[in-house]
Amino acid sequence: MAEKLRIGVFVCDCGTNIAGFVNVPEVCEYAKTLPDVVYVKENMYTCSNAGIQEIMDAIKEYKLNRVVVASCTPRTHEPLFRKACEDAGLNKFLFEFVNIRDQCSWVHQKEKEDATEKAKDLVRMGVAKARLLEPLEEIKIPVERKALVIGGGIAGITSALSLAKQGFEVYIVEKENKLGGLLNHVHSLYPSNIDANEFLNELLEKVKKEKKIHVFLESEVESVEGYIGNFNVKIKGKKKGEIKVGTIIVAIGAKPYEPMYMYNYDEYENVITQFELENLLKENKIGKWKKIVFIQCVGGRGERVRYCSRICCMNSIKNARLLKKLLPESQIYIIHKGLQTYGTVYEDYCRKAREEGIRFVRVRDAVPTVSSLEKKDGKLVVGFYHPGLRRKIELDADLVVLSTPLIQREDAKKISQMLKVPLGQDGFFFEAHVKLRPVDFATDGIYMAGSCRAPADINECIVQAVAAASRAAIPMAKGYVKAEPYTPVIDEEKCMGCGVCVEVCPYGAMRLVEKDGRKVAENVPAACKGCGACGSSCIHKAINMRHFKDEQIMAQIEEAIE
Amino acid sequence: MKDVLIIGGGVAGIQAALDLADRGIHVYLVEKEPSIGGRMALLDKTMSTNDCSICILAPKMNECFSHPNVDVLEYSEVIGLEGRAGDFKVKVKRKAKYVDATKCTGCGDCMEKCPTEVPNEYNSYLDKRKAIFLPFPQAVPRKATIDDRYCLKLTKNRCGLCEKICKAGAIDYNQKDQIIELNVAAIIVAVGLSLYEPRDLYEYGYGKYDNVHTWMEYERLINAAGPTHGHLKCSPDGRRPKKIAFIQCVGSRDVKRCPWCSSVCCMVSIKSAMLANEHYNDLESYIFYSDLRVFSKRFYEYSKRGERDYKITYIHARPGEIKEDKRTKNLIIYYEDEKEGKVKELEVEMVILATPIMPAKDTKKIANVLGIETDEHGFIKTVDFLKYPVETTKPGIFVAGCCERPKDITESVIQASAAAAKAAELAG
Amino acid sequence: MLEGIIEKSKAYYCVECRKCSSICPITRIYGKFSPASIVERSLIGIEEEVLNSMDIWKCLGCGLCEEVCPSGVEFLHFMREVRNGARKQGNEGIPTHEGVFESIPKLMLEKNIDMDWLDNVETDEKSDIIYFAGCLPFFDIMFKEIGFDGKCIAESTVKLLNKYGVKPSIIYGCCGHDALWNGNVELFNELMNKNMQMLKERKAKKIIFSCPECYRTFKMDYPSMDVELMHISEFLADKDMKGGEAGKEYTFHDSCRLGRHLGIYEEPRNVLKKVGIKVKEMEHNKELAVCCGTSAWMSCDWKSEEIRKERLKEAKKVADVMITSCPKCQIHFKCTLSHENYGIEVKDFVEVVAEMIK
Repeated sequence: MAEKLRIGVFVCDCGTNIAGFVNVPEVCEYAKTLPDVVYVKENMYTCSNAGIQEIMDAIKEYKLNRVVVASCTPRTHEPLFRKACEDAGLNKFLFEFVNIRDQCSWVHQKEKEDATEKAKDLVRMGVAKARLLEPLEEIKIPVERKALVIGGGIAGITSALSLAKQGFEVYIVEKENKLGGLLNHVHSLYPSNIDANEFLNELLEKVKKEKKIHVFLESEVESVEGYIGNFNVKIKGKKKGEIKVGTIIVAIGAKPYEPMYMYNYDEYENVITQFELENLLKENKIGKWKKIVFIQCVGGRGERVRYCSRICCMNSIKNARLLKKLLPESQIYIIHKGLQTYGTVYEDYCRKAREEGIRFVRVRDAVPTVSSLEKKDGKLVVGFYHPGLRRKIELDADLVVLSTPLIQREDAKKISQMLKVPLGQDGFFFEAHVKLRPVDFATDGIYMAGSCRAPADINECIVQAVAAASRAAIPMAKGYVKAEPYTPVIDEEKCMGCGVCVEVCPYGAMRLVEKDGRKVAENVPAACKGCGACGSSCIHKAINMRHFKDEQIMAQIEEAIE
Repeated sequence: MKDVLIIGGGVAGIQAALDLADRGIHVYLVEKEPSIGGRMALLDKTMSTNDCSICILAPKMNECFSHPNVDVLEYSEVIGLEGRAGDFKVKVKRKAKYVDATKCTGCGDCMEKCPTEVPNEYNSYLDKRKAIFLPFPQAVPRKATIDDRYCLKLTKNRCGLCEKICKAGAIDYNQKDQIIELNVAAIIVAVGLSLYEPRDLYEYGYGKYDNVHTWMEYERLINAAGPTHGHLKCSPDGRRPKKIAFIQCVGSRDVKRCPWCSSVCCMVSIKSAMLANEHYNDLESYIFYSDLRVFSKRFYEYSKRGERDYKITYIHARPGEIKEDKRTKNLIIYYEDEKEGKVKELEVEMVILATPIMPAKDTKKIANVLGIETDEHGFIKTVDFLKYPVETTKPGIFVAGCCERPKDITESVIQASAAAAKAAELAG
Repeated sequence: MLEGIIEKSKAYYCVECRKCSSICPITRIYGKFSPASIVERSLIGIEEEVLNSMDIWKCLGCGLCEEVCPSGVEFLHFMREVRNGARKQGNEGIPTHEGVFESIPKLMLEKNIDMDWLDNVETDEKSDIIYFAGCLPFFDIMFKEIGFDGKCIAESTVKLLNKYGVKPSIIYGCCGHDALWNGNVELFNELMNKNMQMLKERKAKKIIFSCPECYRTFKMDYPSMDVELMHISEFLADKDMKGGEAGKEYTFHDSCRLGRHLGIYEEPRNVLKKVGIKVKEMEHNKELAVCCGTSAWMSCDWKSEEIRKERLKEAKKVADVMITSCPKCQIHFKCTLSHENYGIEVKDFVEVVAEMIK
């Protein structure tokens, strides 16, 4: 037997914010006339301690089973009023918020009569929905206190160390036969010019000592099933395994772009890439170069990829300073389109480079960076247009170093599909929100760090890695996540198993499952955000969103157009 | 589990607070202003995403304030520290607001009637506010504060209007500053930034010419909640500008002033130019730069979009001087045009100067109280740029945001999460 | 060769922002000259072009570029060194007035000028307080017809010193400023040694200057001596004085050497205030004051004339009389005024003070 509705309506003055522009007593009187409304109260400030107490007392005294508050905005006050209901013993989802401030009194300050009528309409709509509200539960889903880190470069290692220090088991899965990623191919690190190997080995020592870190070398993640708190991961390779983890950090890094068929890179021996230079420095194979020219932005900033790779300016300056120290008589030029030596430390570093005799030459922001790179009488000649002097300049060189951007690795596509996480237009992983959630994926429980997100130097990789560890630690430390109550209700009779909802879901919270020989859609509450994309995309009308059901919204619309 | 103290309630402080609180660690968030939100709450839009700044921050501000694990101590300062990592004893002064927070509902009646107008730092001194005030409309907590430097009742025992008007009876002129002691395991310093005032760059006429503004003043001008309700108005007749010039590196990358690069200003100017063009479709913007700093994710593409779709012209030149037309108050910019090889004049109605981010005014003071070092520029120093990028020179005290060096919102948030992880190691 | 100069003058800090060129008074009217362009050519290694060009002689050494340069490039130092280098290669620029002002310093090297040409002043040959009057006597001969009165400047200076109880000993000599700024380092060194010897013999304790160029050279380009150096305005800055009714509007032109080079802006203004003159500021004043358009008698041509014209017009907007402390500035302005009357008078600082003081 359906319970008899007993709706309580609380209309707020909000001081003069509402009462100054809407006739609140009139709205209250009107609310009393609505069917199923058994209690109406006008409050000066519903959100004050007194106001909250009144709601709680009224629920108990008048046995209210639905509460409508007509006041300011749910953005700030919904949690407050919901908690009041909960504390009084009423399921907090049996509460409906009507905004008669931002959406009424504040925008109709000169039309008191019309504003009052609109407020009445809004209250009537709110009550119509409240009649159809159902109690919802927020289920707690347990979270495994283990993390998977895909990629064993500087970001991966740092994330793992941070997580281990915070008390969580961590599995690092690394494709190569050793940890370190690109760090293994770099000679030294700016701004302190510390030896990269030394730096890496210090970290590897820490990893070795950390019992909570388990490393899978020469291995890859084969498949990932599940959702936050409960990812089932299959690892293949030299070390196989199946593990269950609560969170995943993607740290696969990036790789340097090979400038094939550009700037005569393939033709001339003395035209090398930055990473090839790093290698020569590592192996101590420095030639007796007298004139060295670095060319920046080779392939970047619109040439082959659209973005700026951030680290190459500083990298070139670091290597230039090193070479100048090793070859004091040499003349070193860095040809750039706009030096990216930002911040305090890097600007300082660049000034020191100038003092040491490194010359910087600016060219226009056009593609290619230089107009010619040819051999003349056995010497390399770099030709470019100097915009300041408005003429073509030619520089001799016996070594030309091409700075190419970092680009996303091929495995990124595979990982993107496997984890159902997006890649951006630039090929790098796409974060939940550029500003406020930069190391989170939109899918809960999966995070990113390092150059797989965007080219990053060591300092940035490390800070991102610790940040990702911090984010991953939240659900693992808490031990549970609350499942979203606004999940879709799927009518399995109507569902045709077309899979559109699975495609459309940004959070990987919908999947197709086998039931009685046919495919039907199923929701994963732990990953769901209640956005309703599935509901609005289902052409078979098989999906109804809890708390925003079709019938609830239709009831409001009908009241509105009455 | 032990508690953590976060000093500074800007976006970095809020992010760190939420990261810690969400995992069950109790956080004290000390903020010297009457509201949390910091600089980000006063911006109009954020660069590279063109999000409304307060719109994306306010939910976090509210979440932070109402989080069961966060105690926001607004209008407060840290005045003393003892102890060591894992066991710090902190003295915090809670300044008197002269308003009972349990009764005040932020209705705003008192502010309307207060007779005392004072310079409004929250609108970059472009207009005035009252002695009893909310720093901005979306303030969290939304409670009035009386500025005891200016209040007639508190300084001269006159007026007292707000007490009479307040229906909730929340005014209390007898409130006193409170000193409380906190025991925390770790501290995160996120005290934020201040901006350089380019008065000594006489060649640009800041402070002399009406239509020359800094980028923060522009944020407030183009903000719908600001002094001109989002309309750009030029002296002398309030007309709208048709051409705006943005001059980069005014005071930054300058050996006599701030030798560092402020990292964000190039993008901020591009964003500002985009906003202006969205506002007024025929508006043309000119950005005068030395090196356009567009190094982060999708920044370069953003700069190209500005050129393509928003009528932005990038001019590689630092102008030598700006003259004012005495009659129209228009500004004439002298710069050397690379392409033509001579000094040209550009007449615009408004000039926006991109001034650098500097350490917040009290950084040295708080560093002294905490016993941590600052670097030669006054920013909080980290132990090692590579190995310990969020650790200050005292174990147990971490740093995040612009107080460490200029950075944008994304990097502040990342660093804040990292600092939270380090703090959690000590508190967990 | 330029490598060394780049290092000494820190020209490597240049980020090619072009702020210097956009404030340079020469570039403003003649785009082919650009301080940034000279530095950029040196940095990229086009040495010969730089050393052989006439461009390098167009610089006024006014220091506006250095004042606004954010990167710390010492352009004035750079120019002097480059001119020295150019000279060695036979590029000596085009001096004005048939090079007579290049010869006079050489003359003063050989001879000791001992003139008794000032009236109504008290001097003392044995005094250890020196008034270094520089090369004032020579200018009267050349420029009396355009209204320049060096004798009056020297007299006024000594009279003011007498008023406050100082009987100076007067030295006429060439400080070497022009030689140095024209890259003639050898001549400069000879002049410097001669002057320092002379001062040592006189056991000088204090030297007072009325000419900013001499003052700058002694203070910044000579090695430090155990002697107090000051400009007449600094001497007068702390003295009691009374003045009268101004009667006219006055403005003050900060000469490059006294202003930007030495940083003396307030002292002359304070002294003028004390004698009853409140200075009305021109649009470009103090740190941003514009040069008089000619420096060290080099490359004086239509560009210099243009610069002066603009400056005089600027002065006319706010005043009837333009006061300045530099004899060179006065000569140059009076020269332009002799071609066309711009409705403004140019007077020397000490001349005005001596007139107004009661």
